[in-house]
Amino acid sequence: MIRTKKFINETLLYLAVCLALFSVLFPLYWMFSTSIKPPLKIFSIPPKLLIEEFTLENYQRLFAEVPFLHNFLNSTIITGGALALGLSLGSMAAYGLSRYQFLGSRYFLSFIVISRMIPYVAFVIPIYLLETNLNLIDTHLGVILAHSIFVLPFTIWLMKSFFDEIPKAYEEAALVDGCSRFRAMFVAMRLALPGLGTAAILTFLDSWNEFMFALIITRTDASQTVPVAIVGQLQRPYQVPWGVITAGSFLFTLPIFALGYFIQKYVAKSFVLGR
Amino acid sequence: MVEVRFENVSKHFGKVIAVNNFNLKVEDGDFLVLLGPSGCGKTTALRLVAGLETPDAGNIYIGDVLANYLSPRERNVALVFQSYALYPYMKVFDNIAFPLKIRKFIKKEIKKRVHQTAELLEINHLLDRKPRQLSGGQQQRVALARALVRNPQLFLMDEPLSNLDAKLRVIMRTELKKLHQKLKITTIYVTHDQEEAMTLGTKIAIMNEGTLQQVGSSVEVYSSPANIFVAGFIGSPAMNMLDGELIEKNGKIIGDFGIVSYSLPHEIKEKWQSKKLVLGIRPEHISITKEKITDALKAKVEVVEPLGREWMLLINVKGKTLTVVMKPAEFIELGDEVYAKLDEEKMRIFDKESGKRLEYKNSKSI
Repeated sequence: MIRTKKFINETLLYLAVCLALFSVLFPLYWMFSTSIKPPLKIFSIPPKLLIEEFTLENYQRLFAEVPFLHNFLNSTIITGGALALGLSLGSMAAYGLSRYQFLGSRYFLSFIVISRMIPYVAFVIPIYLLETNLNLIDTHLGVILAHSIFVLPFTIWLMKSFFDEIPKAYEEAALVDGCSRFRAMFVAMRLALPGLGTAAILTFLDSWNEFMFALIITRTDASQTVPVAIVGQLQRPYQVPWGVITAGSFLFTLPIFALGYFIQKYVAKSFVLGR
Repeated sequence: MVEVRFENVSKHFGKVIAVNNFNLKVEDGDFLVLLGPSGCGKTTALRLVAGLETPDAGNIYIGDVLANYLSPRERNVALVFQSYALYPYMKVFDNIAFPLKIRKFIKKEIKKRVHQTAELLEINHLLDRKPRQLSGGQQQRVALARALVRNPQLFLMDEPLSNLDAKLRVIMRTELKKLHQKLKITTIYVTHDQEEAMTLGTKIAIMNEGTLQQVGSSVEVYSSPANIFVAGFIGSPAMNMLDGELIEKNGKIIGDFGIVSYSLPHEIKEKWQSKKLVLGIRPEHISITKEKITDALKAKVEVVEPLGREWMLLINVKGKTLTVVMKPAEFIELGDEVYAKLDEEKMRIFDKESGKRLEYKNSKSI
């Protein structure tokens, strides 16, 4: 009786895992399989689940018709910039909030968290106007600043909770050992590295995948990111080049796979332990 | 090696007064122990010297230099924390080398000094390990090495032994004492453990509620406590305290403590603030006999604790309970009637209101 119950429970569990895996992996498989199908086969009815014919035509077209490498470089620069700016400002702000008390410091964190709850769309017009006035439209810096703005609240909130758990004694030891106040902060930063890693991954994903601000701020290939460029393909006359779009999307997701593969253990640990 | 002076130093945290009008001089080469109950301000006093806190009032001198506004790194002091605060991501070698690296010593010199210090503290075999791979005692040694490696002019220690088990604490205590005797670096050591204070300190400064109560050698604070607080705080088991009154009878000044009365010199009258007195007598200064002797008090044995080398008794004298420490005495049993004699030369009399002990020539029992 107990055995049967255990068997049913396990079966249900595996079924749930399989369903979850399917819902995550199938779109990825479909994206990849579409990218290597000949354009005419993409719309075949009924849809072909298995890959019967293999071609790199879509990839050739991607590099020939779309400045993909350029867009990829833009995405890399912008994500790199948002990481550097968001993490450095965010972690320092979090450190300040964790270590110093100032007028209103207790409410400041709540204010930061609330700002994260406001829909991004609400910031689109103010940021657009601001960046127009600062001549930042269609520049990398323009997108970097916009991305940093929305990754900052989460970074500050996450890093503050990490800093709160680090005993002050480490920094005090560093101060007595001869560090300046600024340098002593890096002792705490080093100890909060798992938190910084988590914040970096989330910032990376946020900025790499971000579409709306990139669409509003970028105009030309000088600054357009991959998501904007791919969506741009939808507006091509006569026919939407799904093969090219999926080829671009597939290449664009590769860095995320790589990142996930290398740091999965690390992230899981930091989420579970909180440090 | 320097002397340290506190001159009228005060430090508040909000409404809490951590250190209040504190005056203390730590002589060059001294091992001064700041002793007091939790929250008495001893750690704050230490942190003020380290530069981790700034005084609200008063001056702190390290050597001849006014240190009030010097940053910790400008003070050339070393601090050993209660938690050791070893950098967990660095190997032992790098932990010890850290203060030298910050000061931009050349690599060769760093290596030489780290190895010398490690040898002194017998931790050369641990240099490649991370702090989490070390036992409490080993971590303690590494923390000491990190403090010693740059030859600080002043050594500060904040309850460095409190995280060790009892046995190791005794071993490390001896090692610290040896180390100080060898290096003779001026040391300020904070603890709430009076045994540690008595064994380590060349001088002991006792603090309570942010103020300094007494400074002196362990013998001085034990045998001549400056006030009721010190008398009660130092010594285990604690000093027996008997409340009493100052009365004048037939032109004589008498201290009446209920179970005993003593005639006191006339000079005392002027020095007393109130007429309330407290008599303090250490447990080992009461002798117990089975037979009645002159001036002895009749008592009943309420508790017998044979502790091996010595016995501790609680005796009842006319409703007052006194603690007695004596050599093992097998003739004494629970419930026995015995005679207790208080050693007049060793007893101390305090003014209850001010708490202060009054110096006077030995009085005579009446």
